[in-house]
Order: sequence, then structure tokens, then C-alpha cells
Amino acid sequence: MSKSARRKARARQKKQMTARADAGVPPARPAPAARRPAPPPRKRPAQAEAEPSQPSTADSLYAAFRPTGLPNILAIARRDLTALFVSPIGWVVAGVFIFLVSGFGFIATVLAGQAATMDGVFGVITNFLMVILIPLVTMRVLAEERSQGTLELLLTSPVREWELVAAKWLGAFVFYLLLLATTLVYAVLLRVYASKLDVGLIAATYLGLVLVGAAAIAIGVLASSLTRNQIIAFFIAMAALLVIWYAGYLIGFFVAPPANLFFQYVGGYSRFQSFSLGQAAGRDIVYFVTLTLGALFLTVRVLASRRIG
Amino acid sequence: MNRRARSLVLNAIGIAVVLGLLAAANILVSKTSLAWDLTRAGNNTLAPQSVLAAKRLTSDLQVIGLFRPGINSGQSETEALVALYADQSSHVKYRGANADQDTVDVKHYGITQVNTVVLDYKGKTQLLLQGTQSEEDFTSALLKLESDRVPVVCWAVGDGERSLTDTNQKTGYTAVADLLVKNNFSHKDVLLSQLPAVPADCDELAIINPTSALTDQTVKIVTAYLAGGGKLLIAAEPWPHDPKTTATLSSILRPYGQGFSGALIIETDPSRAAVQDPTNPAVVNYGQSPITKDVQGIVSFFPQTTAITGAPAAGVRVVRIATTTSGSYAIAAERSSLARQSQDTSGPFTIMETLEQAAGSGKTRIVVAGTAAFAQTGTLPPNNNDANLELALGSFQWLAGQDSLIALPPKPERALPIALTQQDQSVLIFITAFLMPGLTVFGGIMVWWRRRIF
Repeated sequence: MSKSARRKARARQKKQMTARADAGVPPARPAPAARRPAPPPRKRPAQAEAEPSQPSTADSLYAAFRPTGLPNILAIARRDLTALFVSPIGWVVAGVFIFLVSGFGFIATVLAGQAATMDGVFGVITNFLMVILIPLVTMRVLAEERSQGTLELLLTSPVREWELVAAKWLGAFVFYLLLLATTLVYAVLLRVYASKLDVGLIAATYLGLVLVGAAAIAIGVLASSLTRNQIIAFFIAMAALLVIWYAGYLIGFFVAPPANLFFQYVGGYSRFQSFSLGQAAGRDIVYFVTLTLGALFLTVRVLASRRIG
Repeated sequence: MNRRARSLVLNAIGIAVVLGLLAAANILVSKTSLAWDLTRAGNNTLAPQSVLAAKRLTSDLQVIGLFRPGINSGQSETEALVALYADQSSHVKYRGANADQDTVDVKHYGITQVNTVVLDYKGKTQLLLQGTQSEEDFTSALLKLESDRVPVVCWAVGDGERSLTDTNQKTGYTAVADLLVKNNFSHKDVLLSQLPAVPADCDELAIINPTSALTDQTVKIVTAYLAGGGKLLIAAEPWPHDPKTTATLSSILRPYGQGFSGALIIETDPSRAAVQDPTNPAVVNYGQSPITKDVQGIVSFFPQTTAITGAPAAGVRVVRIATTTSGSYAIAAERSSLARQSQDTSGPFTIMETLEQAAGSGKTRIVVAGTAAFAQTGTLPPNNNDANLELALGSFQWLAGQDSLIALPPKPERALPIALTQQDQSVLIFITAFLMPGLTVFGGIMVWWRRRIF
């Protein structure tokens, strides 16, 4: 059993003993207070009477998932997500995003062009959200912890590095999904006016956007782990995303074959194309999943090396 | 080595191993063609004919996409399509190149437009221009490349016809010669007046604007050739030096109820004629034919054309490819003033058409053009990038029977056209430009307000 698990077990035992005392059950070991006159029985709330002395379902679930690290991940992710919505940055990002998608992605394409297509909306997401807004959201996730000195606190708490990284990624990813979900309104509106709208095509593009977002956020988290300055983290993430997204695609045009095939393959923009055409290709899914895992793994190693240092 | 150094080394090795594994996973999966087509109409699934055409490849098919980087180049769609063929056959090799920089390929394949796809197979090539890079176009090109047979165009000479070796940059026909070679046609000159019959190896015959009357023997052998299911491209000119020329050309078409008027057509609608040249009608809307499937809405010019007249004979299917407007008129005899006079006949006139008639087990096919200038060098690329190229090439391909190689149902467009009323637009603008951002701003203000109070 690990140190942290033992500490947790002790805490739970203490809690159970307190609960037993509240319920009038004597503790297993006589307490020194037994020599003293017994205090008058405290009035307990009705809820406390119903509380079982055995571990609850929630406790059992917690115990079951504890080794997976999921409770820690969810707790930190929830805290980060809440922080985004109680601070102005989350709302500013969401407002700017919706305004741009509506103006340039929907009105300019659908209303001006009289065409039932989500291409304009998706274009704004891939060209703006991914390279600017995602670094804006992720720049603070670890850099802020470092600048405030809370990262060391987190690293010394019973939370493993990978749990911390996964939680930071998850918090930002859920925020990204919420932003993405707002664009479903456009799809619904289009469906109302164009009954023959190809829902499968749109679904495939959303799948691609989810994968692209997961990878971009992982890269943003990695950038945020490299520095304590949020602005620097923003520019590192943006530069990295621009390179990964466009560089391979563009270099492919200027490099002689067969090297151009390699660059065109590794370019994120090229890999996203099949999704935008309504196809979910295994190689593209693997590309974005491995990009996500790779970036998260490197972030974990960065945090680990910090501890070693 | 101290403990810290050992940790750093182990850390570096761990990173290298994990990243290597992730890269290996990508390399492995890049070889597979596992994919799910989520579109309703199967936009990313090849038709069985296309799959068959890809699987029949016995040698490498080099596909070169010569694109200009930027949006609306159609590159991503075309490359996705090529990838579908590549999934079916390892012989399909794709290479993307910058059309502005890859001068070697541009020169080698005679590329005249950016965003062109070259298919090179066993020394034969097919060019797919932008707008003609659909699955149907690709498979059709593939079938032509796989076909060992090269259609032969017999080019009539000896009576003052336009020559494929005439290099004049305006009236020459070398552009057509290049067009034929690039699209896997071969051509040879035939002196019809000295032949007992049209050679059997001719897949199609071209009689383009003879300046002297055809001999009776020539008319006879061409008529017999057509009656046996022959294919003919025939073009005349207005106001010929020898009026008998028009008559002999018309006599070839007489069994089909058609002929040339010999009159010069004047187009009075400025939007349907070349700038300040009413003798050069412009056509934008075409009759439905395999020849015109890719040129609807694209302008083509017919300089100094005559009209095609007559009512089709029984059993003859006529498709009027190009016509002039009702404001046009025809001047029968040569004169200096082109102003309308009472004896001029009123339009509209047919200036290009196709005739088709069953002949035994085959079909007789004729493309009739009122002017040879519709395919002269001056109206084809690089001098002119209008639809004349497609009309000329489409004519040769239709006559060679290449239109029947493949018929795939069209795939739906990505962007469906919608007709929104003013009210619809107002509702959509309100929801997307005001309501949605407004709700976000409201949410933000509420959060700020609550935090300020509590």
C-alpha cells in the first residue's frame, strides 16, 4: 500500500470512528476520555441517524476507482472548469467565438451565399478557435499554478503527475466541447431550412473537430508546463499549433518528392481533410489520438523532470 | 553516475521509447485503408465500376496534382478521391506539386491551367482540368488509359481543308493536333478524292472547312461510310469562294435531313457576341449532350459561322449544341455592310449540333459545326480559355464512343442551395448575431454580478 493510500485509509477510519461515536457506538479502543465523565449526548441531526456505519455506495465507488486516479482527475478538472466560468476569460472567449462564428462562418456563408453548408462555421473553428482560442484557454492551466506556487503543492499532494496533467487537459477539453456544442445551433437551423442536409457529413466533421481539439489542447497544456509566464505559454502553443497544422501541408508543396509525401502526411490540416469530406479514416483518428497522447506524455515528463530537478 | 543523472537518462529513454511507439503506430496504420464513410450518399465510397477500373491497373498510374495553393482549388477533394483509388490499388501513386513551381511537369504534360490533375499510365496521359475532377471523370480517364486501343482520327486533306500542321496562331489547327495527342488519339491525313473508301482503321473522319467543292466520289464514299455506322466531324464556312462547296458538304448531311445555309450569322445581342464583333456569336447555354456536360454556363465563341438548316430525317436524333438568339439574322450573300436588310433571315439559328442514327449493330454519329473557327488555334488555350476546348475535345470523344465508357450517378453537392426569404434571413440573423452572443454576454455579466455581491 502506498503512503498516500495509507494516509487516506487512516482518514477514513477516523471519520468512521467519529460517525460511530455520533451514533452512540463505542469506539473499538477505549478512549482516554472514558475516564472523564461522559459528556451529555449531543443532539444529532436526523440525517446523521440514517447514515450507515458501513461504507456507502459512493465510498465503494471511490474505493474502486481510486487506483485509476479518476476521482482526482475529475475533482481537479471540475475545479478548473468552474474557474473558467467564474472568471471573465471563459465568457470572453465564448462570446468572441460565437460572434465570429455567427458573423464570418454562418451569416457570410449561408445567408450571403444562399447555401446550406456548415463549411463556414467549421472554417472559423479550424482557423481561429484552434490556433488562437485554444492557446488562450490552455495558457493558464499549468503556468498559472507555477507562477502562484501552487504547482509544488499539487505535486506534493497525493495526486500523481499524470493525474494532474490529465485533469488539466480534461478541464480545458470539456470547455472546448461546450464551445463546440454551441455551434450545433447552426446545424439545427440549417436542418430546419434544408431538409436534405447531409447530417452524416456534419457528424464526421464534428468528430474530426473533437479529435483536433483534443490534440490542440494537449499541445497547449504542454506549452503551459514549459513556462511560468502565461503570455509565453500562449505564444509557444500558438506557434506549435501553427507549425503542426499548416507547416507540413505547406512544406509539402515546396519539397521534392518523396519527402513531400511525408510532410503532407504529418500536416494536421491534411489529416483533418478526410473528416471535412465526411470520412472517418483510421489513420487520421490514430494521428490525432497519438498526437494527444504524445503531448500529454511529454507534459508528464516535464513535470517529473521538474521534481527530479 | 549519480542518481539524478541516472534519472535524467532513464527519463530521456522513456520519452524516446514512448514517442517511438506512437510514431510506429502511425506508420503501421498509414498503410491501412480502414475508413468509415459517414455521408448519406456515400460521397467517399467508389462506385463498383471505379473499383474495377482501379483493380485492373497492371502498372503504376502516376497521378500528379498540379495545384496552386489556396482555397477553392479543389485540391483536398481531388486528393481525397485519388486516395480512394489508391486504397483499391497499390499501383495508384499520387504526387502533389505546386503548379507555379513545378515547371518540369507543366512543360512535360503541356499544362495550360493551374489545378490540373495529370494521369500518366504506360506512357499515355489524361488531363483532368479543374471542374472535371469528379469520380466519373477520373474513372472515365482511367478506362481510356487502360484501353490498349488508340482511336484514329482521319483528317481529310486535298480540298483546301484546315490542316493539323497549320501553325498560324489564329486560324491554324495545331492546337487541335496537340489536343488529340494529349488525349490519346492518333491522327492521319486521308486524301479522300483518291480513295475507294474511307479507310477501315478510321474511328472517325474530320472534314473541316474545305475551300473547294468535294468530288462526287468523295461524297459517295463518305456517305457510304456514314451509312455503315461511321463517325464524322464536319464544319463549313459562310460565304465560300465556291458556292458548290457548301452544296457538296450539305449533300453529305442530306440523308439525315440537315445541311448548311452558307449565310453569315450576325448576333445583335451584345451579351451573346464577342465585344464589338457581331459576327462572333457567344454561347453560354448548350443542349444536353455528353459533349456539353462540363460546359454549361461557360461561354464559347463561334467566329464567322453559318447556320445549320433542315428538319431531321426519321430515326435521326438531333441535339442542338449551340444556337444564336432570336435577335440574330443571317446574310445570305457576301456584302460589305453587315447592317440588317429586309432580305436577311431572322434567327435563332443552330450553329452546332449532333446527329445520331442507328446503323446495323452500331450507330452513325455526326458532329456538325457552322464554323471551323470554333476549334482553331485562336479560340483554344493558351490563346483562349473559354469552353471551345471542351467542345472540341468532347466532340472527338463522343465520336469515338468514349462517352459510353462510364455513367455514374452524380454525387450530391456539399453545399445545398437554399432559398431564404427576407423574413427567414431576419430570423436567422437575430438568432445567430444577437441572441446567441447576447446570451453569452448576459451569462458573463450575471457571473460578474454574483461575484461582486457575494
